[in-house]
Amino acid sequence: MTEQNGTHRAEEIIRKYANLIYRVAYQNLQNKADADDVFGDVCLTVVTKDPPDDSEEHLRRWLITVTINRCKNVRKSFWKTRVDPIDDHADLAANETREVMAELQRLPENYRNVVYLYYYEEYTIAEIGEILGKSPNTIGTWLRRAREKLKGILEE
Amino acid sequence: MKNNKYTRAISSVEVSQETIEKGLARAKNAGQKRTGKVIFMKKWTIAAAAACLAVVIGVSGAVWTGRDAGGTVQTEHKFTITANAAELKRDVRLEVDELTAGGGGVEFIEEDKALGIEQGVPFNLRVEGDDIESVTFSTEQYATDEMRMRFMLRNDFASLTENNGTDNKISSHSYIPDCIGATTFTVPYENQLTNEQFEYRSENSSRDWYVPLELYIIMDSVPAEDFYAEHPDFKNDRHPDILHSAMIENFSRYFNENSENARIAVTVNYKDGAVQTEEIQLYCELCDVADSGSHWYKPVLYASLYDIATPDTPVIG
Repeated sequence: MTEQNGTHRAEEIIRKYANLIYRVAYQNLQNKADADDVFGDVCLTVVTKDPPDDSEEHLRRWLITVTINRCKNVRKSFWKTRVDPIDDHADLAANETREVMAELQRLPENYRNVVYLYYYEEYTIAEIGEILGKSPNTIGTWLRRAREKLKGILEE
Repeated sequence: MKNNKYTRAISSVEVSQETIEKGLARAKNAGQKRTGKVIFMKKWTIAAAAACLAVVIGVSGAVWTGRDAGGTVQTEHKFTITANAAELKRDVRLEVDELTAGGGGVEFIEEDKALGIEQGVPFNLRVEGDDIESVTFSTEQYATDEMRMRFMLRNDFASLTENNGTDNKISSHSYIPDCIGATTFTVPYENQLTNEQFEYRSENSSRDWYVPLELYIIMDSVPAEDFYAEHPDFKNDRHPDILHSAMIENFSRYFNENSENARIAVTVNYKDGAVQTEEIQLYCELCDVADSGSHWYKPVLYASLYDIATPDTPVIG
């Protein structure tokens, strides 16, 4: 693939999956500034690495994994380990959204990813295990605990 | 998709067009550079190094009389420069702060062959004197491909100033919300007081943070093994821990190799139209430090007044 084609494909991927990347980043990091940063990092990764092109599903999972890994890097960063965010989701318009984010903030990051992948992306527990590199039993446990904590917002 | 509060909330989180365009611009830029070459950037942290890094200032003039850009002596005006609220004095090493507020990153110029590092340094400069209208701080003219420095400013402070940077010279800060980087900025003399608010305070943080003058240093042809405990494997997204001791030593060495570019121009604009400029030269030394019977080396950053006068111009001081 030529450099130009590669960049063109990267742009297509970024535009198509922008919200997916951003939502994974936002629900992980819980603030806009960090989510923006991670989004930029993932854009860079899409260009500098070769995203899978065998199937849309493979690409989608790859993007989720890359984004989650970038979020982990941010959380491990010097700043993040010493400075707590003051962002109270002021960038979010709806009260309901802010309330949900506040609830999510109390969850461990791993639980947030499981909830997102299960409820929003509608992956099965086995699939989530593959994406996160954990056993289905572990995912099941995390999901059960997350449900207990988020009962109010996960009910239909 | 299930319809509950959670899914509705997540659906309402959408990336802004501005963020998309910024990300695309960054991606395209990286694509263009790929053959010549930034392919990956990994943020690194200096937690291990933080405690042993210190910023020390020394200058060659107590209260000096500035010169204009042509080297002409301006005897009617005087000013002093302070760094992190401490006055710079002749031949006095002044420890300003420990380097705890900074962060940095490792940038691979070519995969696992060469890299660049960036380092944040708390460095709060201020000018004091009479009849001063404004002060301009600049690193722009010294920037090269090998080394460039920029100031990190709070957005609201920067809005009071004139930023002369371009796209590459002003950008949002990776770690500090609401801050931008600028290679040149001008601030009204009185508003320098807001320099004291160059702190990032979190509601829940146990301490304040200086917004640093960030030193961005690119190193070429440095083996990655010099910085990593094991060889990175980027294809599998594996990023081993940084060797902080190697980082410190290489930072110091490379900083000094490029020290000609490690300068800050401080231009004082007086109310009567007179202009004086002094340059501060930064350099770094590894100092032997004893602690509880053990020794290690630390890079200590110094600043001194850089003599911009022509050889025929007498040095004032």
